[in-house]
Amino acid sequence: MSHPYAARIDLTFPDNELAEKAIQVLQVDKEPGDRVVKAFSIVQEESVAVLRVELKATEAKMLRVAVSSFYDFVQVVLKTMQEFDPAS
Amino acid sequence: MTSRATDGPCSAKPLVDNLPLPESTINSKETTVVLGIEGSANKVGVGVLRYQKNNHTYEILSNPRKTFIAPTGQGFLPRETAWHHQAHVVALVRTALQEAFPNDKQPEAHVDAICFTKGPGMGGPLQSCAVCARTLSLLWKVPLVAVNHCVGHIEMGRLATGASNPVVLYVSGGNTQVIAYQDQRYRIFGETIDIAIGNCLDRFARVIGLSNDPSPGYNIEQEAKKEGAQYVELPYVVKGMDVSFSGILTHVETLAKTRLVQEEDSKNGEKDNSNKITKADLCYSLQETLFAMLVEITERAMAHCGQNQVLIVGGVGCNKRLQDMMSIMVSERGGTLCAMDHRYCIDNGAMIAQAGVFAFQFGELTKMEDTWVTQRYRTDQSKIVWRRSAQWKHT
Repeated sequence: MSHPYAARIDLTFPDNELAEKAIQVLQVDKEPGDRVVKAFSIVQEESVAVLRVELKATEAKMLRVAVSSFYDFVQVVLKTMQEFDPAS
Repeated sequence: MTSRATDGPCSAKPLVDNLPLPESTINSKETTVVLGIEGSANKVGVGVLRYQKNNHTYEILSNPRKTFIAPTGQGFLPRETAWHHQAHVVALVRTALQEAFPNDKQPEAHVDAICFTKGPGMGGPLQSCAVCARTLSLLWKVPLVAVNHCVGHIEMGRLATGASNPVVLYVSGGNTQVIAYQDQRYRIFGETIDIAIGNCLDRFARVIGLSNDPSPGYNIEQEAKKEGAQYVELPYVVKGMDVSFSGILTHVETLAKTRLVQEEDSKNGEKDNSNKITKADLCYSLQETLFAMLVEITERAMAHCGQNQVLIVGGVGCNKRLQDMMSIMVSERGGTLCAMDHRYCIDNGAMIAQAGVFAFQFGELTKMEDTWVTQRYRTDQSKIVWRRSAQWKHT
């Protein structure tokens, strides 16, 4: 099965630890079926950590939904971190 | 005789069925506090629960909740419901902590574990809450406990009413089951073979244009109480230990579309045409029919299990007419009905904390990779490690 539709999202985190925690949280939920594939990684850039998500899908519509959902759930992670991170 | 849930700390002593807490680091502490996050349907709630060792009590310290109410004539859909929960869950956690530990600069320091609903329910809403729970777990470095939503209702009911081993009628928008405990599982004795009773009521409310605020079921209950409401015969569908609602829904929807008279018409005397029925007639008749079906299958389970106590849990359990009808049957059998009010019948965070704290006290933690949520999670799939494992006895 080929996944011709792809998107890459880079989110800048203040540090590596928070970016890693975000990945741990978000990678638990698998996309249903294999029509959408998600891959997480951290790209180190000077003093910040960039959480990278690469999404690939078999159809444009599925990619749009996956990207939209990703933003929805990552916002919950970010809001939780902003409110409750003991370091801040 | 009906026993109602009490406020304040609930002693676990009436729960003779529960095993004594095992010796462990967790259980050697004087106080255990857990957070519970619930969001499987249109309600999102966060509860803080505290266990005190010295008097063996569980107390709800806070239990704030927000409900997503769809516009009149519509139901709540997964996407909008998920957005609602995503918008409110973090603030609810903050509110719950503040109410539980007022004037405390670091209330989260008290929390020993985070309990959340694994399922069953709607995927997006469940996931929205689970994501928050997981993040908190990593930030505060406390374990996670995944909870079955139905078991949450049951354990909340047991603690709040002191009923150790009742036959449970679990009735909500998403579930309709008659449950009895046996050998570390909540066994399903009877259930709906199609839609849940709450779903039937909610969809009917849409057809007759009742508001969803505060809930369609509540508005049906009020409409049914109106003076002059007449009984209209509806199909009655009990199949052995099970019930079926979708045929009754179709029937009552058809009646509403073809024979409903508006209040204005009836005031003008058009109700003389005996073919016409009012909203109140339909609401009253639907409740009488559906609730009688539930009473029948509950009684059947009581007879089978030799049980005298019934506990009603789930949002539809708030309905006073259902409680009254069940109470009549239970009294005739010389038993007790245990019921609660809307704070605990309707989905809430504290019930997840209640089932979760039991699991936590028995060492049942959930690893991060196992914290995925699921729309389907049968009540009997959850191992009830905190209750006695007893063999069935025939009398």
